[in-house]
Amino acid sequence: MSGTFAQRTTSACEVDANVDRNMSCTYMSAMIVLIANKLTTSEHEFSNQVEEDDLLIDEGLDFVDHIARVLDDDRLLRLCAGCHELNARATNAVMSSRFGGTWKSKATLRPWPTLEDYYTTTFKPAVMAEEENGLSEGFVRWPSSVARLDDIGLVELTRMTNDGPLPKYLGLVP
Amino acid sequence: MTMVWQWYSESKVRQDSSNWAAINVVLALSLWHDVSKKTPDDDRLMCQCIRNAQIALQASTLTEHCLLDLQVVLGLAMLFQAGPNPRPTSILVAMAVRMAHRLRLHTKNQMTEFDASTAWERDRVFWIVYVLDRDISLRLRDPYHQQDHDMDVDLPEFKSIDQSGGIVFGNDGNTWINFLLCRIDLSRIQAKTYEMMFSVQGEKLDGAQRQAASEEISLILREWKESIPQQFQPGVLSAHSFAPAVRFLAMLHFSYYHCLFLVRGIFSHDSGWIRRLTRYSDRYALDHCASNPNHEYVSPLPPNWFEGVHASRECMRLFHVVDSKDLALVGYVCPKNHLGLRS
Repeated sequence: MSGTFAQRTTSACEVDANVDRNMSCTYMSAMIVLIANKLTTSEHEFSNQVEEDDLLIDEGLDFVDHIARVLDDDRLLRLCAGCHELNARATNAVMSSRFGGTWKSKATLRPWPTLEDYYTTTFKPAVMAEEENGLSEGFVRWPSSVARLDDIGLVELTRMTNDGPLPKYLGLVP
Repeated sequence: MTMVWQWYSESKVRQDSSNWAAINVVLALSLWHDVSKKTPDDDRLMCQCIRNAQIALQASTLTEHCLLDLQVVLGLAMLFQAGPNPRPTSILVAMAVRMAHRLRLHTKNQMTEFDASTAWERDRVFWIVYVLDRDISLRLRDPYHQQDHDMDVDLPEFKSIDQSGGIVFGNDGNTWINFLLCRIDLSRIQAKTYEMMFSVQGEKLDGAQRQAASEEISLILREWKESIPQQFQPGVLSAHSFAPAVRFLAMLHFSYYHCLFLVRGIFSHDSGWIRRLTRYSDRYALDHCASNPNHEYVSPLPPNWFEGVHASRECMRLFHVVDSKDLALVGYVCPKNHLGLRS
């Protein structure tokens, strides 16, 4: 039996992390916007909220790192690495803007599994594979614990009787 | 509780699969929305309740269905909405819209047939269907089902404290916001966003037309947000400890941010936006040599950039008030399979 809620019974931690990963979308969008604001600092007036933004970005990166580690999801790990690299470049952009020249810090930069690559090399084959296999979009992007109605619906339907014993599925306590 | 008592005490009631489904959905929802740490037994019980509800639903939908069946479908949709895969929600919401039409919830012509309480309940159920329909539509970029020109139900009003469903009270206990009405307005904007930018016609827009559409929707979103009383604005919510009623407002605001980021083209899974950012960032890369000093870096920033920046700060601050154990809210905050949305 597959299904999200069934899986939670065996690995609540894993599924909780799945849910956290889901949440990363709007939250991650916000984080990337703040990183982009740092990155383009030379194009607009310097924000006096840069320190607060850095705190929010660091929290966001820690959050996404945590989810990726718990899930041990290669695609998410690559996305995290891409976000770290983008933030490192954004920090260089801020330093360059403050001190002039093109600032490049060796300490902060990592190998670059680009965000762009993440989208072009990771998702597109997945989408294509789905389409070739006739699967609905989104199917292969989640672990096997994805909830599907048809899985849960496979449970045997027990006929209810008027006055007989309570149906099997009446048992609330597992 | 009356329904549970009747189920166990009256054999006649046990013939009604709708009641059984409703009991199980309420139990599952209460477990799912409980922010305390869940045990494996809780998980198993919730799983069992969902299975029970689905089985009972299969039985009841084969016959003439009632308002309770529709409420069961909505309950299941809400449960799946917070899970990793929103596809079942999409199917369940489509089913709910059809059931609402069969029950004539989308018109007030038949309201006179019902007592005030039932009419009020039908009204509220319809609006929940309406909100879920448009929310899942934008998240999955699928068409929504309930058209505005094909309904004439009055918007929900707050008339008395006895019918305060959909009303959220402020910390002082006196001020209130008509949450449902506010959410309905946002649903309309979500539908307009889908129509103008992500429908078949919307996706054919050229750059200038798309930009114009983005500006138009952004303006509507701005007006919507400004219409919310100060006490319920995200900045104020972020400054307070998390209270049960506030989680609904957090959901509301996260839906707004989602819509805004999509409209502005600054959504984390918009590959065009990410491509512009990464190419722009190349000049600050350690391994970037000056092989092409004349390379022009195109600004990745969309118009009205600071609106997005301001919203992002608010969004990330608001996240501080989310209880990490509140999986129903945490799961809702983000579209479930946007890791792979069309680019």
